[in-house]
Amino acid sequence: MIEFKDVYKSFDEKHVLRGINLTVNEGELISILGPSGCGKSVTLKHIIGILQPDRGEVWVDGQLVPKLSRNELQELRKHIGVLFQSAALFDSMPVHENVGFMLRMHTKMTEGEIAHRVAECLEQVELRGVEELNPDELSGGMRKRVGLARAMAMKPDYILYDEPTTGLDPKTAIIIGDLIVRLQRQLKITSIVVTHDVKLATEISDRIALFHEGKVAAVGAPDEISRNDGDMIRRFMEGQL
Amino acid sequence: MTKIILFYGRIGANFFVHFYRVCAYLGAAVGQLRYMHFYRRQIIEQMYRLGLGSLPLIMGLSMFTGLATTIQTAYQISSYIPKYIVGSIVFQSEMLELGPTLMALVLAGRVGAGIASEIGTMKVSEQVDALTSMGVDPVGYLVMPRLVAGVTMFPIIIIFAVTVAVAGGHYAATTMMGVSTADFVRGMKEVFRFKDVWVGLIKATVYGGIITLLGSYLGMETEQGAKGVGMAATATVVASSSFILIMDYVLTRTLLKFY
Repeated sequence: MIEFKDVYKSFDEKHVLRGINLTVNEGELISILGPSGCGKSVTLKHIIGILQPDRGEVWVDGQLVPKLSRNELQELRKHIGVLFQSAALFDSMPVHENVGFMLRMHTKMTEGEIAHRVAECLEQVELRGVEELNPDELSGGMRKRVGLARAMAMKPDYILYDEPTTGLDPKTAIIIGDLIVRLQRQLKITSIVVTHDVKLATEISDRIALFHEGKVAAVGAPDEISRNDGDMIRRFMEGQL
Repeated sequence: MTKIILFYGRIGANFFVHFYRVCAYLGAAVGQLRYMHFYRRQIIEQMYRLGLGSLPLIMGLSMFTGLATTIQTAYQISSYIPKYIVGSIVFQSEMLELGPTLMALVLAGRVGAGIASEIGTMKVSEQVDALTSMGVDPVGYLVMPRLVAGVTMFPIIIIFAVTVAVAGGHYAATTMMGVSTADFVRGMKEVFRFKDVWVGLIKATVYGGIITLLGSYLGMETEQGAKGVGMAATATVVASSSFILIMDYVLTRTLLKFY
């Protein structure tokens, strides 16, 4: 379980998070929805300890993230997979090394076992025969899928998706959305999807947290949100939020 | 007047902030040395890239510094000074100064800018964040292997550089200046001291550390996309070259006096 308790974060004079309170339950798929610059990605970075809150608490599996030691933090990160907005594949490595990176760094698996697990992860994201390709030979959608395969390689308890469909054509965005749902259902991974794609959020999420001005303006199941906070979603879609 | 004071005050304050951060990176990288076995693959890769990769360029350029030094030395000495002195001057100036310092300036461009661009690109494309999120310390994975490669491979490069430069100097002395091989070697033997070799190697080690550390630091601090990467590469060359020349004075003065 992940919990944000009254989390504040500022960068110089810019107040990005202004008292975030949010609980992510085990096994659920929650989308954080909101306009650009409202603190969605900053919220994700607090979970893995890349950013520290100015005030408030971030709890992951009963551990207070900002208080963890360097080693404890690194241990926690092994249980959290992250799909970055740009996929953030290591461009000096081919696909199979990217996907097997954490296995090589954190496990004592043999090269054969790693190759098997890499193939398994790529199969789960419906990619075949790309092991030897370099990241610059992949399309945007393929890069995201390789990024997702890399995030899954260590069989994490959580996967954080940072704008998973940004920059993709509608068809590929649907494929990625389906993939997120399928992986969450099959592997029972707690998933947090940061997005400004209302359609994606309403289609795939168990719950949606709507961010506005650094706070959680509304949280609930998609139909509940559209029923109670439909006006806010409409204003967000019209660019008024 | 106030504006001038503020301007220079800001430059001074920025310098100390960066100096403090570079020291912090150095401390963090040294702290990561205990995981050397864990990052051995990265260390070997960097040693190969920074060391062997630089060798052809450095050896080629060293040849020309040897040729030029010999011709200039022969031009400067009068007819009253014995010709074997050419060998002495070429050897000592290459070992103590030209080999380590001049080649370090070349390496600041080739290696330093390369490191800053590579790490800078990783930073702006979230690859450094990806490393962190995967439980891998970016200082351990990116900075420490480059630092280790720099301080170990640069002295080796300089040994090759000085050898080639002296060979070039010998070629110029014997073919253009009428100095015999025996005289050239005699000149070298007369001034040869192990102390000079050590001084040259210590300089190369320090320069290797400066270039790789500054390249890594400025790469890790990169912001603003492609523009930031370019700025980091430029800043690395300027800062490394400046520190190399400052440290050249400090090391020459210290080592030749006390060592």
